[in-house]
Amino acid sequence: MKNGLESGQILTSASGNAYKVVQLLGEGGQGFVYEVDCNGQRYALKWYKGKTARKEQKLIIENLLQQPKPSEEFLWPLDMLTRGDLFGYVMPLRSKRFKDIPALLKRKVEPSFETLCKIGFNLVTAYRKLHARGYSYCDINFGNVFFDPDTGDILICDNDNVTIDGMEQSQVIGTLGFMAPELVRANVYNTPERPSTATDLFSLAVLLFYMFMMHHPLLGAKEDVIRCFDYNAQVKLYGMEPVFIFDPVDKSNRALKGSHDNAIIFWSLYPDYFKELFVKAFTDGMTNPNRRVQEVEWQRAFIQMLNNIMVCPDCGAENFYDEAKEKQMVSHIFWGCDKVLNVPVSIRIGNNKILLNSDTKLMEHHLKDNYNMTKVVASVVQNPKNPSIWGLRNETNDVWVYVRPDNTQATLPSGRSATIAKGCKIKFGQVEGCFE
Amino acid sequence: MAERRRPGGELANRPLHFFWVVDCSGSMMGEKIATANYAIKDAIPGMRKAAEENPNAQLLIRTLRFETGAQWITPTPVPVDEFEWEPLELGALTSMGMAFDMLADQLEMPPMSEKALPPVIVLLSDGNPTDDYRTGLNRLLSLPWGRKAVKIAIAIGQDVDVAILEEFTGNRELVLQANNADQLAKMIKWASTVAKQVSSPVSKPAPVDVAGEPVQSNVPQMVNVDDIPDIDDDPVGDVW
Repeated sequence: MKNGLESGQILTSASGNAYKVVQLLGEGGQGFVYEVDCNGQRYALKWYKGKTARKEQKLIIENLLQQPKPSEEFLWPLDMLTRGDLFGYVMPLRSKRFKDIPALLKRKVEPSFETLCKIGFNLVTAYRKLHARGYSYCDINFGNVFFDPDTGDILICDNDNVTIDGMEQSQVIGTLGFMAPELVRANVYNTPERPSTATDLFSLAVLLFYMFMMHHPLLGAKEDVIRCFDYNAQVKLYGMEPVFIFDPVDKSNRALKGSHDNAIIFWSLYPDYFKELFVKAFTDGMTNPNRRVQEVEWQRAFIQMLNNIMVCPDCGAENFYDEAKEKQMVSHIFWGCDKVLNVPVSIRIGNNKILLNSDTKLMEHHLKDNYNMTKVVASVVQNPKNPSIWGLRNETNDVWVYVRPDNTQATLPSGRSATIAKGCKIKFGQVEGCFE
Repeated sequence: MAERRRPGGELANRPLHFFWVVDCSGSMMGEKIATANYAIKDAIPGMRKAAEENPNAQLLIRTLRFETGAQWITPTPVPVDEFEWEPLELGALTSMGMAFDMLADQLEMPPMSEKALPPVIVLLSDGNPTDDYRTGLNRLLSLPWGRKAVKIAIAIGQDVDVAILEEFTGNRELVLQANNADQLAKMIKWASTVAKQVSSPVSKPAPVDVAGEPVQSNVPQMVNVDDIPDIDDDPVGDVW
């Protein structure tokens, strides 16, 4: 292997760590990925192929090595190895519990809607942290994101294209199908536009659409009449004449039954506030890079979706409750069994209305509006003496106050539960929640 | 397959037909055919893995051998998961024209579906056609799917009329010259990755304007396998 490394080979980094090549894990266009061992710890090593081992690439990685990772989700460069003109970088090894997006799209892994919303939330939260630091990822696509289908944890790999927004240093222009239309055109006309945070937001919307609709947002009637889906066809659909398949005005590229069924099926299941974000991303945001959906907008939508999941007691299917729908007197029907659903009791805290299912947890975000969706502050529990009574247990160290409809109060210390009953309230310090 | 917790099906995909077309004339005897047989067999797991990671395509493989006459080893398209390489046996002559004609039969609609990804045809040969190649080639290139197919030729040794292979590929860069077993194996491996290139999203490198960077116009026949041509680098052409 001319540019590659051999198993057993030892390379020493400038910082003095010796890495032994254990095995080849994979090979891509840019380089090889090896498992390496350093003092008994296993890592991954991305080793660039001759033509991609450019000095600009090396500078990017040297810079990233100086920066702390934006969050735990990023498999950030840890060390650099060189051999002659060739080089590579060491990063943490990806655990086997993480699956790729192609496995999701091929239905080889099947997360619940709730987990999918957690994956979406974790993804946009991670990219928000990266962008907040002034960096662009430059090549968001379904090959560099991984998720745990049980927990919703995510990983973001291939961080070697991460560059400072506006500096246009990226060594890649993106991946066709995920690239913002202006980049597709720039690639064709050889104009100087390069990936940026604004183009990341377009790619992120495509990735989310793939994950939630199991389809591409621009492949509708216009794709259906193309026989040969080659480079020219993709340039046309993704760059020259991009039209969202659910564009409320331009209906020239609708998803067609028989060819694009997933898009039609899934679009009907999600609440309007979520779909409106895709409409924004792929109408205004298609032509105006400043009008793309920000991560915080996605974060809010995912939190609302997580708050509003209902599970059918008969078929077990998850549905999204939509308050707007209820206000318009439109009933919610379970997709699994076509039954009209009964909305469970909920608690309204500020802007959040959280449905209380048997396993619902309130998160710190619900009380502090800080997007912390990992720290549990309260759990729905069953009264051990009377299982027909459900309560909300205080999982914090704070003392809350339970207020009954007649205004009598009881303290709710850590570990204690209060009965869930319409009209009752809980004062969580500064904020108040009302069961309804 | 996991238990379905959400409705709908797999991501809609398109078929990608991949053809191995191998010269089995007598002159392929010895190292040439042995290397080809081994290299193609060796490339299959990689093709399987690439297909696994690519939800956009359904990769279907077929093998056509030609000597005195031509035969489909796998007459119907075989999903890459089920594809097995059978070592090819040799005959006498080089009926390349017949092979082109039989390829054309398969690229007519039907049997080709109305919607697909660009087919990939990889032709390996060590000699010149002993039949009328032009009729078959003209027919192949007159078909829309024949024109849209990504055609790669691997010329084994020095006895090949590269001009004929260039007529087939329509692109000098896609005629690869293998002068020894090692080069042949590398080129077969590269050709096997073309299915991925035409069907799955790959990161596009930003154009470089560094002085001294090679420009791929008058590329020599011997393509550096570490610097493979980008088959997407067409100017914007027709959409069909």
